[in-house]
Amino acid sequence: MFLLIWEFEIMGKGDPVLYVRKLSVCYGRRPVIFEVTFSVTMGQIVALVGPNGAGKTSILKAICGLIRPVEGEIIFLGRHVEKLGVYDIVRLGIVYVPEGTSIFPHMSVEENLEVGAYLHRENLSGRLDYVYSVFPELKDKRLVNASALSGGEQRMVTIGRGLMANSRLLLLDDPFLGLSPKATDRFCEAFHILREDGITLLVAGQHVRRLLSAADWAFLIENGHITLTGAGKDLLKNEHLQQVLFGKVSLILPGLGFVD
Amino acid sequence: MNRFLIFFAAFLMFFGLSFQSRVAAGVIKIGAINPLTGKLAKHGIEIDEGIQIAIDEFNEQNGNSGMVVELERRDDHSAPDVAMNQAEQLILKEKVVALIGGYVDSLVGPVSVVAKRNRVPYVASASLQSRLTQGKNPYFFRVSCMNGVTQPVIEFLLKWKNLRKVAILHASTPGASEFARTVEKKLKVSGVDVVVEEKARAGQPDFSPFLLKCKARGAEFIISAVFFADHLVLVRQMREMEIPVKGYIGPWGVAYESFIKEMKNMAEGLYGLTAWLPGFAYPGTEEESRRFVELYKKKFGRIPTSTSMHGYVSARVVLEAVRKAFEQGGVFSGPDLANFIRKTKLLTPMGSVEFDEKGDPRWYKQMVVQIRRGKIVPVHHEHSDAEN
Amino acid sequence: MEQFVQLFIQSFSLGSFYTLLALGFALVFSVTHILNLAHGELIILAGYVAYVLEQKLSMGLWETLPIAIAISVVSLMVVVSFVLHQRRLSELHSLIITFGIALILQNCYLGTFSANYRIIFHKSRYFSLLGGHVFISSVQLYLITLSLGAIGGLYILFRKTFIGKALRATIQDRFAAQMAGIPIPRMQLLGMVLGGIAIGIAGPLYARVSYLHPAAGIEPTIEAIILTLFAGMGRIRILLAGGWLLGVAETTTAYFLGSQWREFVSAMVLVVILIFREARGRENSV
Repeated sequence: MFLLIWEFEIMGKGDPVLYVRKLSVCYGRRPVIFEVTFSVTMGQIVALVGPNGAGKTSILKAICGLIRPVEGEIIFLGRHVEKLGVYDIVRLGIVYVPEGTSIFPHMSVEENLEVGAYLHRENLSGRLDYVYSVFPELKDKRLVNASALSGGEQRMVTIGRGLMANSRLLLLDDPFLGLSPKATDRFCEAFHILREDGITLLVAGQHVRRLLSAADWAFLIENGHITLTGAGKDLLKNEHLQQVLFGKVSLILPGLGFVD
Repeated sequence: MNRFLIFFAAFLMFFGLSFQSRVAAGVIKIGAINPLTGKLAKHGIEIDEGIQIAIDEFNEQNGNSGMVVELERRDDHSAPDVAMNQAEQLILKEKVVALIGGYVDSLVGPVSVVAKRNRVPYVASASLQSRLTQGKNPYFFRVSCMNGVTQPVIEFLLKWKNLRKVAILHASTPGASEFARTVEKKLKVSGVDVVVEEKARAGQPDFSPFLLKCKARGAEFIISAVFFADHLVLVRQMREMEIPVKGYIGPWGVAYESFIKEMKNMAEGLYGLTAWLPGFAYPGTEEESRRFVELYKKKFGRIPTSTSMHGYVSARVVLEAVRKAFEQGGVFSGPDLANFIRKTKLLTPMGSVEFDEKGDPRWYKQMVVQIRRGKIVPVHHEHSDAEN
Repeated sequence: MEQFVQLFIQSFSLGSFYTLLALGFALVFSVTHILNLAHGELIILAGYVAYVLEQKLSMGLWETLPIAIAISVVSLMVVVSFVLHQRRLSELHSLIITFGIALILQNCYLGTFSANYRIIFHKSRYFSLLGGHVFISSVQLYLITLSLGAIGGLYILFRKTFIGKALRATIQDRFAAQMAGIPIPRMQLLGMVLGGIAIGIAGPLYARVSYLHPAAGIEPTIEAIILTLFAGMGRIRILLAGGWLLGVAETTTAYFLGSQWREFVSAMVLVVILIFREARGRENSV
């Protein structure tokens, strides 16, 4: 049961926290996203999957204000945010966690986390405790220089920093990149804790199976278009997705672009 | 098309070179190149101003005879390559009949090469290095020379009773290095030990290692062949560290009103060298000296220095040659002007000016002065050996 | 023995002087990534301001410092705003623009203050140590205490205050800082204010230790570039260590080998340290 539609509106259970309508994004003059429309429901883990270069990162960057969209609307909790800068969007509660590591190498773990609370300094210790409860690994190393941590721990610091900013919507770009299966499990576990605590996650990535099995809802992106949508587990069984992402069928449908 | 342009340019250049000595309707152009900006700007400007006074004076005196001299002033940014470029521009584009000016050998040297190549006489205002006049350059003259600086220093030091140990610090310029070498050699021959001999880059903020060494090795006298700004730092540190020396002599930069103004009583008792002072002219030129000071004060609002006088004298030498050339028919070719300059016999406030076959001044000799109660006082010079 | 203690004091005051010269440059470079070649000219400007205030209006160092600091902060902001308003900003752009500004400033100084060399004449007080054979002058004390004070103050700001931590974050990773909701323009402004304060302190001391001249700015700029290269971005304490190391290297070289070796040895020290740092950096990145 799947749909192959160019434009559709979908509402999950509960209220949408983010609503993206007819979003188009260009890099310089090269268009990369074409009139994409979707919404993200409060308190869900939503996955964005697709081949390399399909436009996952561009969508995340457009939402968090790093790229100004050419056209379209982005509505976060009833507010238009497509014209706001990064700073204002962070203030509203959307935090982008970029691919790879994005830590302050010569600061301790705790300082890294504290800095995340730049915009919301009240109840600092309470929120630090919350981050340590989600990632207990960090508590033991709170005075260690962030550059001395492992890759997985550095990513925990980055996500933790996002939590410190009082974020309600976390945009995670390829959070499992380079992690061991065990560490990936650990992160999935953490994502579920966050979801329980009412934080919405929009996760883009290459680790399709892992992502889709953890996600409540998911989108497949190809060549700047959303070509599939549905519950994570359903999408995983979808033939077209398997074809595109795992190359199970050697034939590639014309017009669907390159497949990694 | 391109080739044609090159030919055309070459053609123009050729004409430019061959007609350089032609003079338009009674206006004779003289070029002056000095460091007006950059590290050496202070002294460059002084020379430049002295030159301007000489030109003004000349035009006022000779205006009626239809002979007008125009001064083309150029800035070399205290850089040799710029100096060379400016010299070429002045000769080829402005068609100047002679060049004057220049402070320190590193700027004078390149200009003298351009002057020789284009057969235009160049009278340098402040140049010392002996090497510059040994290249058989018939177009190069200068109103100062090394001997005129080293000799008075050596004579002065040897007259000092029981002087056994001296320290020499010199700037890394060719002129200052040669000065230090010459003085060291002469002093050693006369039995004075040079216990410290060092070269220092201009503009360093700390001379204390040198001073501590002077103290440790018991130097009684410091000979400091550095420039104005370095004296400021060096003397202050010497005073602050209470280095026990009997005297301090700086051939350049000490005998300056502006030095005393900045250093206040720290300058007290220092020895310097100067070729001329506003109140102390060569016998027989007191009137000219007084007039120079007056014109200078009127035009620039301050008292001229010995460096300004060097500029003035170098301009006087060229103007004298121009006057002679004018009187003898008004042909201002380079070789002719150079000949007139070689035969110069001029009495100036700095002394009498004549050139030897190498282009060095025959009689140039500076005098030793001391700063006493904020005034510069001559203590050792040609016509007052009795003093001090 | 006393000679060496004296040499030691000279080294440290010279090193502190170098650190103060470099501090403003290093701060501006770390926070805004601008290589400010007009840095030395701004120090000279602060020096001239102090010169006028102290020599003509006979004010003391402590009264002139706030004024020199205020003027330095404003002028640094003007210089930096010329660069930051460029649409396409790279370090090369900043080099070209600030070099142009430096030349313009030099000519302005030449017109305003003339080509005369100037120093702030002052009567130092002396403090004898070791039974009167070794002394330390008040200017040397100023240099050492002000550099220690500036570095210490920055250390406390960077380590103990929230805004200081945000500034450090901006220096270490500007993109990540932006993601953490840190307002980069405000941090750049803060960096400039701190840099301006450092320049305002360095200027009046420069006019005491060295001399003022329209073209004198090149020396402090070079000193600042060397020390910043040595210390790396945002590493303020290493700046002081580097300044002292340079001071000791230059002073001992000049004493034992002669002044002519001074530049050679300090250049060698720099090269060796840069090679060492490069190697260590590579080790760390593995």
